[in-house]
Amino acid sequence: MSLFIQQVLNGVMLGSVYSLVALGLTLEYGILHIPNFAHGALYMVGAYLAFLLATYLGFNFWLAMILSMIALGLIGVLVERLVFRPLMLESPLSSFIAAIGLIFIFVDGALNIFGPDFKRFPPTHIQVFHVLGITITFQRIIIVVVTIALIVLLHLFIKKTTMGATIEATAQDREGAQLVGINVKRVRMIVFALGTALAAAAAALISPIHLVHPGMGGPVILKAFVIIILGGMGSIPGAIIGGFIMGLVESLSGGYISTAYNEVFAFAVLVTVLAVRPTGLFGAK
Amino acid sequence: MMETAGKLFSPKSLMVLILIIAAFTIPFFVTSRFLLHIMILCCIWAMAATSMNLIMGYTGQVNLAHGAFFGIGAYSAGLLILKLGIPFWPALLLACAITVVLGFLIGLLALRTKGSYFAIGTMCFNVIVTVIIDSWEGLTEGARGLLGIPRPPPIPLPFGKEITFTSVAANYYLILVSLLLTILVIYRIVHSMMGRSFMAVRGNEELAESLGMNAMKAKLLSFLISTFFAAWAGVLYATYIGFLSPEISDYHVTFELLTFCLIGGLGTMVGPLIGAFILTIISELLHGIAVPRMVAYGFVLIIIMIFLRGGLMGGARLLWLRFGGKGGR
Amino acid sequence: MSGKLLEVQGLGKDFGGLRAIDDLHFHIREGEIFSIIGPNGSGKTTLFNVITGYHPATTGKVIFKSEDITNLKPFTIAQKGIARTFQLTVVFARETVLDNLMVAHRLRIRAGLWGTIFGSHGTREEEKRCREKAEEILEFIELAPQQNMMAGNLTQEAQKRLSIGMALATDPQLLLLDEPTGGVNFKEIRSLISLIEKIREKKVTICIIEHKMKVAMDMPDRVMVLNYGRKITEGLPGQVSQDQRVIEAYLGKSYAA
Repeated sequence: MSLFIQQVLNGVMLGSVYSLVALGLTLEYGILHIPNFAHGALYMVGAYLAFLLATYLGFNFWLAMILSMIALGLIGVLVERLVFRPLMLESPLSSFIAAIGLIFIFVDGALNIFGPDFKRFPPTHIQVFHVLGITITFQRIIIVVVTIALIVLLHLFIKKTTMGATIEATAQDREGAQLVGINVKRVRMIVFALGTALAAAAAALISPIHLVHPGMGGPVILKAFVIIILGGMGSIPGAIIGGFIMGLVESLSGGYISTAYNEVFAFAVLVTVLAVRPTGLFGAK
Repeated sequence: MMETAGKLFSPKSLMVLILIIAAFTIPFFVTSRFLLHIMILCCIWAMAATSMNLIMGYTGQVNLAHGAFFGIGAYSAGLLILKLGIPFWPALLLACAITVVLGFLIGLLALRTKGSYFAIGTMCFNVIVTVIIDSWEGLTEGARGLLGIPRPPPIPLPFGKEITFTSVAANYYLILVSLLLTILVIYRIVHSMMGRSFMAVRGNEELAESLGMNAMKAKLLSFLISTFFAAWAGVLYATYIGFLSPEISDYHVTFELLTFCLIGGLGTMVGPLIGAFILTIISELLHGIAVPRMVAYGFVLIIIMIFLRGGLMGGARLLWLRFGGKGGR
Repeated sequence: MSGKLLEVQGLGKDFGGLRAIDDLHFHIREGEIFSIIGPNGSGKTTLFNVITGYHPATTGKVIFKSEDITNLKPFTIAQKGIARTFQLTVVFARETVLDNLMVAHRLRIRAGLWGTIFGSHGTREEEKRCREKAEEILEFIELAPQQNMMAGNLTQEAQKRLSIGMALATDPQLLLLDEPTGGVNFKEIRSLISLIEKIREKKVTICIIEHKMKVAMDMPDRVMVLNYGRKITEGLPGQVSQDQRVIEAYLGKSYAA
């Protein structure tokens, strides 16, 4: 029984990270109208940034995370401006391939600069709590709390601010938005900054627990895709719910079946869903 | 654009003839085993890229599972030869057959989706395959890899002679012939009514269906043909290199093949060849040097997407048109 | 008395809560020009989409040449002899005009894999037939001078001719034209009308969705009027244009006598 609860908690933690990544991805999709394949690579960059700030500049975890979010947001803006904007009117294939190019640059760049070894984040929030026969580290609790805080902030931003409404409008109808005077280019930049900042947050949160290495973005981005396809590309609730479901599925199947195959399990679910509903669970087109 | 087949003795076909003859005479001029080895790798990747170009360039479906089929072909042959003692030639056929059957099942599922969903779905499938090869140690030896796959056995000839595959040159010819056959078959398909219907599906699937074309059948056929040649290339890789590890089915392989096609020019026959040759040569020659190959690929990809959509062939065509050449083809 | 080529029985189409087509009964006779008119949103294009298999029918049947073709796939329906054009003209923009027409005939040949790879005589003959058909249609739609142009570079009117030509290249018995004169000027309308007359001479049955009264009333043998997915009336053009219900549908109750 306690194994079960442990796995559930683990799943919630994982789910939080996946939700944040999927949220960023779905936001970017709402604006780009194609999935940003490079999102996982950016996530990885965020992790390295946080790692560098914490290890070499000795910043504490919170400062490292926030600075990493800001820095990655700026990188996201650059990427949008230099890579995705010129391809805005081309076929989706072009943006997709450009994203692959970005992946090559970031991932192999990291590989060359930092080497393939796994880097360890300095010990952070390692206090341990014992509740109901289970052991939780403080960092795991922080992950979930911060995630919920960020989700709430995002929700407030989108629903309660003008910029948020602007973003929703642009996501729904780019031309219509332009017609009413919305500066679509600025919206794209802001959404990208938001999306990448969320990825950076996720990366910083999980780095003390999982290690930092150049390939860490790969499995995460693939799962994020599964999540947004199942939850509906561009749907914020879908990304959040899907993220937690993915985390739980992975944790439970990893605990009870085997860790090697838990990725396969997630993808198999995806392939099955697509086979039955080729436009995703909540997809319209 | 539809490429004309051209008359038999046009400048284009003469050039092709010369290239083929030159390709056959290379081992006589190039005595360095290292350089010949690079040529062999170029040919293998050119085969894989050309076959990927059929489903991606000519049929317009972003298939990101190609590396997986290459790997499945390679591992099938390796396992058939090593563990079941099946001789090379039957193993080649069987490995391709196995891969095509798998491709058929995957294709039936995956091709129900379109666009980005198809891309992601096939990429996930690719990852699944690599994970399975890596984890199913009982079958594939997992991360340890399959070692000691033998070269093809000698082919007996009349008068007591035989063709042996111990020399690099002999393998080169085997792989060159395979590449030429691949190019020939795909060329014929592309320049036929069948090829035209593939391109119609690429252009506008709904319109193609309204004109009576079964888009699913066209996509599936294109998918299977490209899978077949991917598997064949994989088998050649397995028996030439002699050693397999799960990485050869990895999605990185798929992305590299994609890069070859793009840089050379998606949707042209020559594009994947150019891309495969140039990039393989560059990356093999730069092996020791501290130039991060994939980082360079990344920049090249982005630059090509933004500035040179048709790849090198597209750029060549633009230059040709700009300097007064006859347009259209 | 020409037979019923196409018959629609009790056809209904719902999109979620919206009833786009409601209990529709009509038929089209072989060899005639039949037009369907009605205000925007009356379900005309949806009707074409259901007949040609793009949307499944919610209720009812579509019968073509005495065969039930309801809910068959679009490519099957094209193979059975119904071709259509789209309201928003579509062609293969990145192919030449000639290539567009050639591929449009593909459904009438086998183009098998082995024949293709080994260049069999049969496959080569098939390709030749497609090319001859394409050239014949090229003359018919008067686009021969533009045969090597990229279809996307044609004028709007030429693209309409091309899309009609492509539909013809499938050797249909029934041709469904969805607003063939949309967005086209006066002179071009006349040339499109004469093209449609030429098609009738080739014994192809034509069904047109139209807005422009001249095309919708002068040319056809019979007219059907739809409103809110229901048939208001059908009959000879002269009768229909006087029908109060039709006037009411287009102009509102205040204009009806």
